[in-house]
Amino acid sequence: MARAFDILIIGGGQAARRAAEGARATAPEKSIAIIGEEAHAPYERPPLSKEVLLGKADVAICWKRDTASFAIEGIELILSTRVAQLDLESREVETAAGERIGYGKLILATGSRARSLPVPDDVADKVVTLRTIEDAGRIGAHLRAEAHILVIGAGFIGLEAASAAIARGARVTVLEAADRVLGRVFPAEASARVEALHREAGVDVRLNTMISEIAAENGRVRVRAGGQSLIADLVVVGIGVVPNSELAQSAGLAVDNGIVVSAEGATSHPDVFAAGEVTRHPVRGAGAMRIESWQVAELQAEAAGRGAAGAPISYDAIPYFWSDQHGVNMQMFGLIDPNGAIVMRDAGKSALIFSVSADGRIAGAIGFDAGADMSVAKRLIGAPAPAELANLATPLRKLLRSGANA
Amino acid sequence: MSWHQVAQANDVPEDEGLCVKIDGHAIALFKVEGEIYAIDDLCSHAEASLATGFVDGCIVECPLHQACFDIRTGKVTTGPATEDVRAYPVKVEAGAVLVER
Repeated sequence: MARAFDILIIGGGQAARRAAEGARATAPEKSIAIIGEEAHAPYERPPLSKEVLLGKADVAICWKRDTASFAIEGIELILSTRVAQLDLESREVETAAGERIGYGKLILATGSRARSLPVPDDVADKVVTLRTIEDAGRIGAHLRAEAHILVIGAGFIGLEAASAAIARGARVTVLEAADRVLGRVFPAEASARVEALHREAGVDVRLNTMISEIAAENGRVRVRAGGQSLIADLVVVGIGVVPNSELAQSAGLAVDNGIVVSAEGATSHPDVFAAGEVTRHPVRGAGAMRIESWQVAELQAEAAGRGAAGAPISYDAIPYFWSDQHGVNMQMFGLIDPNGAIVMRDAGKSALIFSVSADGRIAGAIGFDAGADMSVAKRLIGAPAPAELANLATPLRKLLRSGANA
Repeated sequence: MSWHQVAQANDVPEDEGLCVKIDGHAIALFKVEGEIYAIDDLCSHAEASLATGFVDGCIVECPLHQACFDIRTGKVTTGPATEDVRAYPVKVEAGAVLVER
């Protein structure tokens, strides 16, 4: 007799755990299982590129729940298992080993995978991406004084890796094809602040630099970029992620840069929900988006879990993201147009940069060590940008009290 | 466990916290609708002072990553923190705030 579960979750990360918790919270009697490819119980990834890579915390901080507590909640973990195929008709999935597992409702929480660069086999172990506990361990083992760490891609993951590497004494070079760091997400003024942080910390940031070749050289890696040759002990590739939406696609679910879901996490098939950053979900003021963030894995996934359990709630949070680099805390709320108008509230080390939409409303905010003002900024989103927004003499809280968000 | 005088009730603001120390241990005092509460100042998720967080009713938001705690109980209401912070008994005597630790 084949195994079957009332709610079956594919994917073994944070979103899978949260979907399971959401389902369990409303359906104490239903059988729930998580099928994950990794050997580990579901864990959170944000610390991997921060505290863990810095050596400030043990990898144990990534687990919000241990294996035993899944069992106590009646959530079965089927680990080190890849699902090869979905059969929506018979409500079964088939694992790579050929086992068929049945479901009542299915939740796809397959996440994303790091985009990689094609490299020769003899350097493959020294050209790595950062996504898993194993990746963080491999990179961490190379972070020592005198090592040269080359980071390809000045996105969040690459910049956090650069920040950790230099803090641990390595020499660090960041290569970025675009003309500024974080250019895909930050306005130029915010990019400039982040670039300055890295330069002050001693990171060699090279913009407008394309990679032309990666090859082995005496046990190290030679990277040809912008007409120069760089020799590195380790290359960290941070050039974005790809949603793991192939299973959904081949089963015929609606996929459009992510699995298309409603605010309740429902896909185009009534028995199937999707959770976490593999989804393209409704976002206030932006139609629908696929967002790679802790928040989506935490809260959108919870909504999907509740939806699958028959107790739907809407996910409608203001997008939120954070990064910690060189001891500076960065937080982002709302929608930030990297090429749109901004208002800067610059207090030196601490600063807020507001993204202002064409109709003069605050669409998003980026804070650098902005502290409690970040909470105020969140509450200002959607409001017309007040004239005093840039005026440091007016406390941000006062703009809230004056009813700016009414 | 003993009671420690840590502040004057009038010094605890309404819409933000006040960080005080008991034997070097940082404690955040908050005033919600006239009532004073005490919880550990250090966020259970990262190195942040909850006394510097934004206060909305009986919830304080961590200034670093937006984790939320109930000021009255220390319980996490929203992540990324997962562990509650400790809440301490408080009494006000002759205008002075006493915390039991």
